[in-house]
Amino acid sequence: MIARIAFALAVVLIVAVSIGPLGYAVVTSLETGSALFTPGLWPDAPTVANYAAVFAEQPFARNILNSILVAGGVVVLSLALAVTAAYALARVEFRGRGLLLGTVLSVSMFPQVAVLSGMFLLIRSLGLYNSLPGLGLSYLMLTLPFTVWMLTTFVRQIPKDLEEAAIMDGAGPLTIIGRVFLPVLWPALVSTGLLAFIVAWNEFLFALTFTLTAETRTVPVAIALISGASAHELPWGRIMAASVIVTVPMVVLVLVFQRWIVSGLTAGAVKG
Amino acid sequence: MAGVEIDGLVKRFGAVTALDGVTLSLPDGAYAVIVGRSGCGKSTLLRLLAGLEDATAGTIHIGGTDVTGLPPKRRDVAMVFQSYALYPHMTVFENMAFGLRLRDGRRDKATITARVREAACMLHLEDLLDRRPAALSGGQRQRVAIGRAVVRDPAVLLLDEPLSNLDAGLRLSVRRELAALHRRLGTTMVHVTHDQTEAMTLADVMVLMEAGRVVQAGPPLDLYTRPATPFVARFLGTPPMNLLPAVVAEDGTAVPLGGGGRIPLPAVTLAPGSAVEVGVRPEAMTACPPEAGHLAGTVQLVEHLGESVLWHVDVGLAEPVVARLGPDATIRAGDRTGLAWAADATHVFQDGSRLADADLPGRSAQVCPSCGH
Repeated sequence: MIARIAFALAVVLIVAVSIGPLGYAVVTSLETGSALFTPGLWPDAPTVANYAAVFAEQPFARNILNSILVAGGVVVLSLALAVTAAYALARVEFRGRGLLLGTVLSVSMFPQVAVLSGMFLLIRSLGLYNSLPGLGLSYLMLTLPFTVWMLTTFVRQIPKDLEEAAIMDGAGPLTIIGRVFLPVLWPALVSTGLLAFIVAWNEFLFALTFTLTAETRTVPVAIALISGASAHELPWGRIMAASVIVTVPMVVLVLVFQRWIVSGLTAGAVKG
Repeated sequence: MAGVEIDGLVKRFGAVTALDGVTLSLPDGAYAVIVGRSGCGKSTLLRLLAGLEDATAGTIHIGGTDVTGLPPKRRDVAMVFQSYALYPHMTVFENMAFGLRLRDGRRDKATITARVREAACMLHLEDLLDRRPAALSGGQRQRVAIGRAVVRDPAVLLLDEPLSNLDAGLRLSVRRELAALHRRLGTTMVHVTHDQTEAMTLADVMVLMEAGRVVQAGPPLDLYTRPATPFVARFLGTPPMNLLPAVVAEDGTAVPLGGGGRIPLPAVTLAPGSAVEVGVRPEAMTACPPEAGHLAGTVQLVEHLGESVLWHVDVGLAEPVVARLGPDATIRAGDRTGLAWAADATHVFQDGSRLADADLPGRSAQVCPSCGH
């Protein structure tokens, strides 16, 4: 009995800690003026003025579109590169395969700050500074290591017989990838792609460094740069409204695809 | 349709030799069963026939064409995998049509549909064509795997342990279906298994392998009645043949080590003192008084199998001799008994090969004692 009460309390605590900040953001986004500074579970006079202001005072719709374009492009590119790389790393015997996999993994351990200046030079020399393709390119450095690793694990779990059956049926490598592996891998692609999308959607440091104008900014940067009437005023209401606008779609996405995310995250842990 | 000629085939994986010079000829339309213990190279041989592995040395001809260096799709062979390896995202129909579409991309849809339906009809899969593999039972998946292979009408059909994932009852019925399928198609089939019953019942040509070599190939009954080596003798039959190490005495009989009896040898002339192995199958033995038989010993264990009784008789050797007797044979453990058998049931091996073909009248006299042929 005591154990069950303790368990219930622990669950309540965990839920409160994880949902609390988001809930408070929602509440705050519906308040204006001095109501912001009176804590409560629900505002006395809820208003959507903050949401209107977010779109009125800066090109926030454009920022959302930028985020969708960059994150979507990064997902498509990452998956296309990672699937072909994973086929080679999982199924083709070649010298230095283990070293290559290790190198890919070690890239993901670099702190972002360490590569910031190098990445800046690279993007500027390619003429991609302050543009969405430049941002996408830099995000590939963040997403490719784990997409390659995850998909390599998934490809390894595909029975060798399946590939050989396709070979006996007369299929070449591209047919095998396209018509046998991709359909079998699609739950893995969904979960890997979603993780890559979240990384690109939430990224802040590169987005702040490699963009200059409001029209090329992505959402996290746009939110951080929302400013009030004076330097001494932080417009909490609008910041929270903007945060809710970009968080809710992510939460919905994750809830819809959570089954695949779970199977994707554990797939690497246990060898099937 | 085509015969298969394998000549001096060698396959090495690094330092490991999986196939050590396999030479084998399978006539057109044969049902060949390659049998042996795990690790004897039988699956490697099948994969080389399929083209999934490259030969280190030697040649493979299918239907008179040298296919040794050709990729699988240019060999006109199809394979049924042990795990079935059905495409999980395709329906039964798509599974069977996949190879047809890839090979004959220009062929019209109607022809492909007709051929899939024909194969499905033959394997009783008509009602399952729209299902996915996940919705099928083990036996149904097996039939789809066979259907996917035969729908292309290959010259040679390869089967890798096709029955090993089925339960015992299903195995029996699929075995019957395989035999019927072979009668109907007339395709050359090569079937790999470790199960001697499968090999005995299905094969026209039985190929027994050991350590990367073919030990003996021929009709299954030939292998059973005239095993070329002690290995073949022990491999076929349950319980296996009794092999007694013995020494040839002055009077031409063989005396088993331990002195458990005197075994008259068939018409072979062996110098007294030569070491031989005398083989006799459990079911060939009959019980008799201790002093009247070829062997005498103490019964250690009696096993009742219902249709027969197994006596484990200690004749002074490391292993007891096993005799299979009629169900009404009665004896108690600890009793002494004699064992006798007909003269043509005696197999004699020397230095690992067969000496006499006493069971083939007229040939025993011409047997060459050194090579056993």
